Amino acid sequence: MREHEAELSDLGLAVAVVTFEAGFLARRYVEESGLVWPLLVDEKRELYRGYVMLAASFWDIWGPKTWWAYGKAMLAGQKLHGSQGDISQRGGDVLIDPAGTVRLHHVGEGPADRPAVAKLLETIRAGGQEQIVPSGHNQEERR
Amino acid sequence: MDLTGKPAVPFALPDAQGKMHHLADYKGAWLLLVFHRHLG
Repeated sequence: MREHEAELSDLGLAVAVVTFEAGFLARRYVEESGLVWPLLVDEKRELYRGYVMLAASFWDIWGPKTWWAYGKAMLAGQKLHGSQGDISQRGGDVLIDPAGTVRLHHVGEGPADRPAVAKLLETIRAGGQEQIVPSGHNQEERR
Repeated sequence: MDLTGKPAVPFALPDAQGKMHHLADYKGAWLLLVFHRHLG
């Protein structure tokens, strides 16, 4: 997603990354990854639960999609580390519009399961156009 | 359960440096929350 940072920023999108891992692990991740967005620490996982991101199944964690994702990452030159954290915690993505309404809610089934950036951009652009049209008026009425 | 179309869940969370962030801070802008599985 970082390759699209400028485009996302131009659309007025703020990004915040959420983790349940606190303290040294969170600070080290920010330093090592060069993360440009805030890393919010949800140690009690209340926000995770609020968005129904619960524990993943064994198959979701260790199934073929996971190995495929790790294989692609390694071929791309990424270094993979053994995790010291809870590997059963699901991740996901939530896109919230300027009025505070959830416009995209995606709970990941595994490490490879994330919405495409194109879908996020499409949702924002569609939402932006929707906001320009006054309520109760469609395109035909505006002509 | 798909929460699309529902109000966003309020939050008040510290970032890795200890600065607090609230959902209300982002009102008026699009916000993408990216939930990590783990930081490994």
